[in-house]
Amino acid sequence: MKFHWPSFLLGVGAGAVGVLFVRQFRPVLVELATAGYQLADTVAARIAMLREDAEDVLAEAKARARRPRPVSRVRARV
Amino acid sequence: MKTLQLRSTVAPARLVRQSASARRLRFEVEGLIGQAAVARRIEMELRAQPGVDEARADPRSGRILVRYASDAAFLKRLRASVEPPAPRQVPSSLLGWLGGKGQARPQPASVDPTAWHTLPVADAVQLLTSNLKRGLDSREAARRLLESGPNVLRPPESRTRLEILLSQVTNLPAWLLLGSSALSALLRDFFDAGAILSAVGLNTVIGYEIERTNEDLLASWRQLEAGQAEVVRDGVLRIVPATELVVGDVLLCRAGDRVPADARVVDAHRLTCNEAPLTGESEPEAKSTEPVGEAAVLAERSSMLYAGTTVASGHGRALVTATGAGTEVARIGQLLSQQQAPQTPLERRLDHLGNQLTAAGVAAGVASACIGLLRGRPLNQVVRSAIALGVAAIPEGLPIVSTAALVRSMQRMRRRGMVVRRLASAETLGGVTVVCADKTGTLTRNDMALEVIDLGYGEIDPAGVKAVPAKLFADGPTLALVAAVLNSDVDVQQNGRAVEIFGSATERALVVAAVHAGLDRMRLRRLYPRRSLRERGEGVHYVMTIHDAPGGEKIAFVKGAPEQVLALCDWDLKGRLRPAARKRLLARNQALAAEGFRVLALAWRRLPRDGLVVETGYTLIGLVGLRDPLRPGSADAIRTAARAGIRTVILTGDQQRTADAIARAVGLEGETVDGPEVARMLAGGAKDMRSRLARVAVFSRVSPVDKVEIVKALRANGQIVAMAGDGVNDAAALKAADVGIAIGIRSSDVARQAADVVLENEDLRSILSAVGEGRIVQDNLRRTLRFMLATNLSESVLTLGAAIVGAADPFTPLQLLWVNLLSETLPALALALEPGQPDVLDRAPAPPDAPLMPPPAVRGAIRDGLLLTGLGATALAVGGPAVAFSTMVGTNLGYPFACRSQDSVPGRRFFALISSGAALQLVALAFPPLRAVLGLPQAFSLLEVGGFAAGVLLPWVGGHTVREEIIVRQERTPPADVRSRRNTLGQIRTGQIRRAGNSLLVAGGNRLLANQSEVNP
Repeated sequence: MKFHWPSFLLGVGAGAVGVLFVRQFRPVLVELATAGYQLADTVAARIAMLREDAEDVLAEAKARARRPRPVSRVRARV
Repeated sequence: MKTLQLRSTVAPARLVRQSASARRLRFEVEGLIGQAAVARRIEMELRAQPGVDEARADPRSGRILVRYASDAAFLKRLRASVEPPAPRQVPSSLLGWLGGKGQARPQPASVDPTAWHTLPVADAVQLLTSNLKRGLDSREAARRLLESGPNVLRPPESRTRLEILLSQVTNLPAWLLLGSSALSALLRDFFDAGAILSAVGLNTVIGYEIERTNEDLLASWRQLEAGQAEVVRDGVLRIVPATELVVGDVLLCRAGDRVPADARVVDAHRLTCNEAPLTGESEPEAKSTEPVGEAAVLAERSSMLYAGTTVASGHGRALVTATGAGTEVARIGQLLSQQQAPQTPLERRLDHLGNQLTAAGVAAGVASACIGLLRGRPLNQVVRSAIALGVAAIPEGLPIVSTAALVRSMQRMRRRGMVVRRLASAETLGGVTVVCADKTGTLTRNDMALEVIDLGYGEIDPAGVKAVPAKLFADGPTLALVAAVLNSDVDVQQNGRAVEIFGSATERALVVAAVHAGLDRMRLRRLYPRRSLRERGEGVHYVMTIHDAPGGEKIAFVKGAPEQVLALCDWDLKGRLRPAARKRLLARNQALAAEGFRVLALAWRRLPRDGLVVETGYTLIGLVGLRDPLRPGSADAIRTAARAGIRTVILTGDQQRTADAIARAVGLEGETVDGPEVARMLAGGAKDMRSRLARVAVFSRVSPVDKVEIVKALRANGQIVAMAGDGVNDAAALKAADVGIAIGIRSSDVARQAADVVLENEDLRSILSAVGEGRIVQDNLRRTLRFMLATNLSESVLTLGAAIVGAADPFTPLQLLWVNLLSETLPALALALEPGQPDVLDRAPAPPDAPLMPPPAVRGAIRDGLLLTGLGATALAVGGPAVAFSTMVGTNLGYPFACRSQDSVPGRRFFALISSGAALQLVALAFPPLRAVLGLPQAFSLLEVGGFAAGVLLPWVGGHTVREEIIVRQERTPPADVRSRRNTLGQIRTGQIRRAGNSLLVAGGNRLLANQSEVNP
């Protein structure tokens, strides 16, 4: 394999950056991961709430539909 | 928000939905999201309750579903509930049922929290359902704590690391470069894409690192707020953490205590409170149990204690009325969070410039692409040319260079005791036209001091007094200090090695002066023990203390208002007190008061052996004058500011008379506007306000909101405003100003967090040196911009010209990156880090609306850019792209000599940076792998070195010659607009600054020169 100077220099540079700056950037990575988890939790919560809201609506509709109606006087006499 | 009381868990819950027909209740429980174990526990406990058919807790949504039976017992209690449930709140009877507690307690009626100061003590106690003797029940206190949360002030939010990082890349030029990188990657030019990304990454990392370091430094100064409080609970005095205080607690306060929550005073014994951080009042406020009127401002509410203030003297009890986010100090914090810190002028101008360059780059790229397509060039070549133009148009090194200039300025300010929190503020300081200064703690030390002793025969400097303990009653100054000490009530505490004195500011100042003069306070109190004290009262404005003296005698000392104390006196230190002497002393009292002093008279007499207090026959010792002294350098700073063309305005919550006295002491002239008049002025018409604002030097009795409005009004007038303050009451104005400066490391956390700059050393002169640094940054940035614009223009014109004529691209994107990022950045740094002129503060600031580069400078940059283009085109024609590349790099190294200020010789750093650039280019030409990376031919050519040398020398020599000619022409024939300005302005005195239109004229001797950038186009 032919030795490619630019790739070699880029690799060395990336490694040096990683070694020199990883400590400084650790808090940023933690915040990034935290933001990611918060986003995931928010999305999951929103989906669950929508499902619950739909469930509540259907339950109320079902309860109202099946509520016993008062018997009319005319019928009762009959 | 109510609490869901279960057997083992108590959690705040909110009723989201109730369906009577479906017999369902849906609650949202705080803190349930993600807590599967808690959800299971809640379900188990709810299912165990009678009448509950189903209970389902979902940790994903944080909600609970409760299905109940039609005959559920709690329903009856629900219908019979005393209090209809408030919307979206759990009915209190359900709470009682769920927890097995029966009927819940009725909640106190809601009262506007700001009206506690108007209520009599009995009403306040009843409303808060408390008891003055027994305090709160422990369980009730716990319940209230759960309901309202802990008594903590949310610390001011600082920027997260992610926000700091993202702020470095959220700008148009960065997006253009990222777009270019993405395009390169799509064209499979991965190395080019990586190189462009590295350029963006480098700028990001440098900016992030600098701002992060400053945020960490400021975070380390954050004072711990935790403390303890003495409260009465269950009839017993307890010490509890301040975070556990609740509304209704009976709080005990003593001298030196920091007030932990807002409270209504229910008992006061000589209780005074230092409220300077909240109101700006320099004197402690006397507190009493009497209610005050509804219209009373914060500083006048003598029936209240406020969180964040300190008890200055005396002791008392108070009923807590607000904790945590409900306190006045938290409200000021909310006001702060509503303010948006304005973009600095530099940020605005660089943004504007960046947008213009981006637009130009995009336009040039589109034009080149269209021409290329019309000429039938392959698409990938057309795109590569467009990328090259995009890279050429943006000065990639500008963020690094401007950051380096600001960082250096910041480091120099750090050495002078100023910490810059927001990098761009280092430049904004250079353009400040108005400084708004808080009075107490900013211009003054917020620490009363004894400054005058007058014993009837002239003023004595207290600092020069040496007490003579052996002649206590024979030596006038010694007697004055003895009387002051024995008559004062202060609490002296040892705090490690430091001695802290608590008490009223006045008495503290007297005791400190006595101690400095060599008096032993404890020994005096042993020799002359106090037997009784007559305090001030209705109509009595003096304090009398009776002491035992050696030999069975009794002595009385009196201290208080001169008019009343003089009325008690028949003698003075020289003998009988004559009417003329009395008149002189009263006149002296008036004179001192007019100068802002707090004046007290001191007197004494021996009493009969039975100790019967008499109201005559006293011997007047003299008058003492106390005041809050100016900070060192305050007057000097204001004078220097005036010379630099910067106006100073005092904003204070203190009284007009005190504010006026301080204004005179620092040499400020102008009108004084008091609180109510401020509101009228701000509500008046814009035109009227503009003219009035220009004449006012002092705004007194202003609230934190007034300070913000005044700062905003000044900014709307076109001023660049710096606000200097140290208290909570200054924080919102600090944020609203162009530059907020927190004074002193002891300034409040809120003020430091809101400020752009923090002054560590409390010397206001540092502000002016920071202004000077800011102006140097501005001058250097203008020269750097001129340099970068001219060189970037030449690259863009060459690339676009090649596309127009159908020739091959003269430069590859990587070569352009090399030029812009490496060989252009080093010379640009050399220009940006120039030391600046020593007379930078002897001229007025640049007009606030002046562009970053004035039109003459832009014209000069365009002219130079075209000349450099010609040079590059010649090199291209003679030797091809490789020679053109070397020549362009050479011009980057020679042109800075033409751009820099000619008033000084280049320093070592300048030559070092230029030489580094030259060395880098020579290595690039000589090192084959680098030649390969840059796309240069393998064979090295002497023409490349020749082109490089020509590129260095020609702009240097040519620029120097052109400049001299311009200066000579300017001196012979000033521009027409300068001539007309000179005529309009009339006679110009040496050193005077004049402003005409959008330009500045600096008078130097008998000559008029246009401003720097006009002289050096």
